[in-house]
Amino acid sequence: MSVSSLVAAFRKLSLESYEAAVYEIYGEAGIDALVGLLADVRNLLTHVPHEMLTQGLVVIAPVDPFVTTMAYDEGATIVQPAELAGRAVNALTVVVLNGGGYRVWLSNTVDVVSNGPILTYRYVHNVVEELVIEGTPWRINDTPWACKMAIPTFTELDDALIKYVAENRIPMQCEHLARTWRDGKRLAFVEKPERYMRRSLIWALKFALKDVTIRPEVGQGETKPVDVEITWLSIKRSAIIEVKWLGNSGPVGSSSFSTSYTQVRAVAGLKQLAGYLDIRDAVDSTTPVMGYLMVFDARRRSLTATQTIVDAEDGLFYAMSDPDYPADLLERADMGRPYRCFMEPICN
Amino acid sequence: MTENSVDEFLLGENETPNEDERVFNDEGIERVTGGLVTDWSPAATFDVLFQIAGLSRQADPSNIELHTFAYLACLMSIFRGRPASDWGYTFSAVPPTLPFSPAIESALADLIKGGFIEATVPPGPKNNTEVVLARHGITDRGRQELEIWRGLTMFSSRVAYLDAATKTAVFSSFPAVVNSLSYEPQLNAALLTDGPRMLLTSVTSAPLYEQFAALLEVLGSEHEELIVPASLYLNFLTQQAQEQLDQSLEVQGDET
Repeated sequence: MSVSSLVAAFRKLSLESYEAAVYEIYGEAGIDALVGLLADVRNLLTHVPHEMLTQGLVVIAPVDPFVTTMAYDEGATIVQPAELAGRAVNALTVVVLNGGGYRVWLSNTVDVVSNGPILTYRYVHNVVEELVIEGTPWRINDTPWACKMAIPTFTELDDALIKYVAENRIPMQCEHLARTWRDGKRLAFVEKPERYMRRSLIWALKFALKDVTIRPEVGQGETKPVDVEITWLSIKRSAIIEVKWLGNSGPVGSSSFSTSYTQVRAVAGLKQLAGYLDIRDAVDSTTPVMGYLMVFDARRRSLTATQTIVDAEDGLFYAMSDPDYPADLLERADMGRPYRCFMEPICN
Repeated sequence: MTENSVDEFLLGENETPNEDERVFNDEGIERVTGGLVTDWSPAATFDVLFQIAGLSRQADPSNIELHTFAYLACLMSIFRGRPASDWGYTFSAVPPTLPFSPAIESALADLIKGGFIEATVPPGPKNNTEVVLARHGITDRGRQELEIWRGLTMFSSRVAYLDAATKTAVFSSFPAVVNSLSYEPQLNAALLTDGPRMLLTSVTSAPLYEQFAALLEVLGSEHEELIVPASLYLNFLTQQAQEQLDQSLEVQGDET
C-alpha cells in the first residue's frame, strides 16, 4: 500500500472507531472509563446469559467517577455481577457506582439522570449492541456472533462449530449470512451465496477458536482449494473445512431458480473433502490434517421461485433431515463429524 | 534478579523520543542479542507477570496468547518511537507458532516453578486430534511480587506498553487479537512462506514502520495514550485480513 493509502485507511478506521471517538471527546479519562465499562459488561455477561436479554441490557458508567453523580429511583445495590447469576433476566439496567458496586433494576427503561458525562452500553439480543457517546450510538459488534462482549471462546474446533450452528439456526445477527438471502423471509439464497457463508464461518472462528490461525486456503501446486484452513499454533496440525449449501438460489425477482441443491450436494461435498485429504496427505504426510464439512441448509419443501411466504410445515420440513453420508467416509480417521446448519425461514 | 542487569537496554521513563523526532527506524531487535541471553530476561519475567494479571480479568491466557500480547506491547513501544533493540528480548516467527519469544517461554516456566503463576490444563480434547494448552492465572504470591516489581525504575517504563496491549483485549477477544496480529507484515510473510525468521530486525521492519508512520499522521503527535493506537492498529490488521480473505474467495470462486 502507498503511504497515502495507508493514511486514508487509518483515517477511515479512526472515524469509525468508538474508542477514538471516546478519546476525542473525553481524552484519557474517557478511555479509562470505556475500558472499565466494557470489562464490567464482560463480567456481567458471564453471569447473565445474553440470549435472554430480549428486552435489553443497559449499563451506564460515569466518565469521571469522582465528579459525576447519578440520580435515580429505587433499584438494588450489588457488590459484584455474580450476584445476578441464576436469574432468568430479559431486561436489566446497571449503573456503575462511584465507590464500587452496582445499582441494578430488572428493567431496561430506568430513568437515570447524571450531572456529568457518561458512557452507556446497550444490548438487545439479536437487535443491537452499541455504545452511546453524547447521545450518539456507535455500533460495537462487527462479528458473526450475537454479542461481541460475550463471544464464546473454545479450545476445540468441534465445540466452536456446534455453537456456530446453534447460533445460526435463526440467522439474524451475522451480516455476512444476511447477504445470502434472496428475500426477506429467508426462503432462498441469492446467486453464488457460498462466499458469504465462508466469510461468516471464517470470521466466527477467528473470534472464538483459541490458539489457532484461521485463513482461507487457496490451492497451491497439486493441492486443490478448500474453503477454510485452521492451523494450530502449538503443534504441526491442521484442519480443513469444506463449505457447501443446500436449497435454492437465483436472482432476485426471477421466475425460476438458477441453482437447486439437494442432499446429494452434501454427500458430494464429503467425497470431495475425502479427496482433498488424500491429496494433502500425499503432498505433506508430516502434518496431520482433519477434514470437516459444513453444510448451510436452506431447503424448503415444494418451494417455487415466485413464492413469497412459507408455512412451518414446509419451511421446517428439512430441519431434522441429515444427508445420508457414506459410512466408509465417516469412518475415516481423518474425517471429522459433518455439520449442518439448518437456517430457519420466517414462517407464516 | 538485579535492577542493573537490563538498565543499559531500557530507556528510562522520561526518555521517550521527542514526538517530532519519531522516525521508526533503528538497528533492529537483533542488537538485543549482543549483550543479553535470549532465553532469560528480567524484562520478560515482568512482562509475563504483568500480562497474566491484566488478561486474566477477562480470561486466563495460554502461552501462545502471552507471546502475542507481549509482541503487541513491543510494537506499541516502537510506535512510541523507542528502538526495537530496547525491548529487552527478541521475538521470532517460527511457524506454526508466531510470534515466539524464548525469553517469554522461559519466564513463564520460571514463574510457574516459583509459585507466582498457576497453570491449569482444561479438560482434554474429546477426539484427541487437537492440543489443549494450559491457561495461566496469577497467584497471591505473584500479585504481591508484581506490586513490588512495577515500582522498580527498570520496569516502570514498560507499563504503558503492556497496559495498552492487555487492555485492548477488552474490545475484542483473545483469539481475534492473535489472528489479527498474524497479519502484521513480518508475521504474515512468515506464515505465507512457512519459514522461521527473527522479527523486528533492521531488514524486516520497514513495512511496519510505514504503517506506524501513517497511524501517527492520523492520530497526531500530541496523542499521548496507547490504547487507541493499539486498537486502531489491530483494526487495521483485521481489515487487511478481510481484504486478503475477499481476494482468496474471489480466487476460490463459488463452486469448489
